[in-house]
Amino acid sequence: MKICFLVPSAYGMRGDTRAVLNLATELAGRHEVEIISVRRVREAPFFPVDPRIALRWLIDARPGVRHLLPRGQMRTEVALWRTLRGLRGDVLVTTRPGLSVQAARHVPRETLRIAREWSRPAVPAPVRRFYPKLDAVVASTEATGEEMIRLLDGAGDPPVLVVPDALPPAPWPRSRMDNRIVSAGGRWLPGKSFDRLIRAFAIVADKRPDWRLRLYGGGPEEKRLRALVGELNLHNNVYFMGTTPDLQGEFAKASIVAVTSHAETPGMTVIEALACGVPVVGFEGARGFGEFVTPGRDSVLVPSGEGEIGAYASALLALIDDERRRMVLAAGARESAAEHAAPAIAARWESLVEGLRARV
Amino acid sequence: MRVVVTDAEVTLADVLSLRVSIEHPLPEGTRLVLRQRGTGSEAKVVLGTPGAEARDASVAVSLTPLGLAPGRWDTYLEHDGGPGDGEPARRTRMHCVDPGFSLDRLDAYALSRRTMAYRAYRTLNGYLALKISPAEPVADVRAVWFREGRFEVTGLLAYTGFDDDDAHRTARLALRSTSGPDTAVTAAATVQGVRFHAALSLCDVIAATPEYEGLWAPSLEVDGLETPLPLGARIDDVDGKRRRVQYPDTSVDGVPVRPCYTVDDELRLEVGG
Repeated sequence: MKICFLVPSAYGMRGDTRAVLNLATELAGRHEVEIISVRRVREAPFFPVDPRIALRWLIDARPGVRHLLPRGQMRTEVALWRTLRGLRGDVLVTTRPGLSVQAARHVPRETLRIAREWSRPAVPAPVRRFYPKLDAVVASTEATGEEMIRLLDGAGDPPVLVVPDALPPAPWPRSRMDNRIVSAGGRWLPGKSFDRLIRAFAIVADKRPDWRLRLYGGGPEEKRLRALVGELNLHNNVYFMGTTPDLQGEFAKASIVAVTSHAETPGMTVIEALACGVPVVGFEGARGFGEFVTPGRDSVLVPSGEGEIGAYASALLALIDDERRRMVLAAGARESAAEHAAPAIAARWESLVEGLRARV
Repeated sequence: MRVVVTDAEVTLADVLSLRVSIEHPLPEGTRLVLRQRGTGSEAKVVLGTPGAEARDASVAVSLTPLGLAPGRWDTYLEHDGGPGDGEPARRTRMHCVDPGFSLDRLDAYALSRRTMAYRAYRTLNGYLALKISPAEPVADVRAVWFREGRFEVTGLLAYTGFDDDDAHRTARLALRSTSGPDTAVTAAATVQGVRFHAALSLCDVIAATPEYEGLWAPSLEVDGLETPLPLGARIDDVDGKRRRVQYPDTSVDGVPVRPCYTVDDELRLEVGG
């Protein structure tokens, strides 16, 4: 079976890119797998790509590369249209609503077209209009699945299914839980709310000055976060660790992973932390966060709203002071991560595709 | 053969101690191979207890007699190909799920006097490797502050051979310009066991020389040690503190002062614009 993944960029550092690569790596053992990256934004992909996966790109968007006609967005449209019209494969998985809509319009019917959704599409009208032409919508979480069903008026066409994201192949690194480190990872964007984490950690560092906060990632918020660290006098406690292709290995050095994201879905970070056997502390009601964890078994949830930063700091301090509880949560975290193992997730995708093909 | 290291540590006696999970018992004559990155030079150690019917094996290899050069070393298990002669030896790189160290144990490791520091770690790709670096007595910085016009620094003395007890020693923090005249600003420092704390008036630094602009290198002169200790921050896994740590700046009489790290993680005080 030839399986194509169409992604906006396979070159960047994003949780969803990571998830697609993990799934593609596992499927590449049994199938012909191709990843089509619409844009190429850097020389080599940020995350390592398995050599069995064929990777190609449509638009060269590396810094300094200039194009003659057609330019800008038009060039992307044309390249995408040409690729989709001529696509030969058994399954096409598109990973953005914009790409899924184009796939619904242009990809030949012989190919099974599946839209992969991580969150509710920002522009619903074209989704409502063109998604019924697709063969299936596969959401990463139950909540996203329900949102998609609501958006498509619950017609059941296309069917909306739920398959969670996959972790990289085992063995996963494992934390010893003996370093006094709180880690957090992700792109430094306003929606990820790392500023709230730093503010909460100021309260923690005041009581437990030997604990350190390590922030992994990079992004436009860096300057603001560094200024905040200076303002709160946390320079001895907060390290800006930068980006790493091995976030799991770094999480395995920590005893707690903190997720303060409100607007952005923090999927991969949470699963990767659980796989290392590190408990996660996050906010209740944050988009999607509650779906990846079982509070009390592998994580701690803090109610959001008024006084949330104080409550978050208290939750961190309670976990810092209770080593036994940390150990219990760590064991639970590893069990929770098992259901995200790549072979299990790939098998679910395979049976899903078999089912859809039988229907057609 | 699949080899996964579930526990890795370099002990205080410089013994690489591993717990390994393996599919098949290790055949007789299995060797642990250490291969240096860059040069490709190798060191081999034949492991004992061959043929034990166990899925978990413990390996302990003393590193000092191997005479390994500073650098990064990858680890492999190697055993002979099979019964037939002439078959090439098979080599398996060792997967690792353990971080290879913990920060408290690194501190304990740095208590004794050493010339070479060994640390096991997990590479980005998930394999076991060794980092070997020359070690000399150093004052390891844990925190710095600007408070009330003073520059304060605290941390641990590493590789000095001092005991971690309550014994007081007299010490001085000296600040020398890295370029320019050989003048030093000194202040008394407290050393208790291996912990040190020092505070230095920034006005003295500015007043020491009218040509104050440039980098100033702090060092700790401790009674009982022949050479002054440089101030660094290398006893952990965070390399490149220059960009990873956000130190505050202050200004004294209109002159900006900022602590920073060099590329090899030594503390400096940057005075002037």
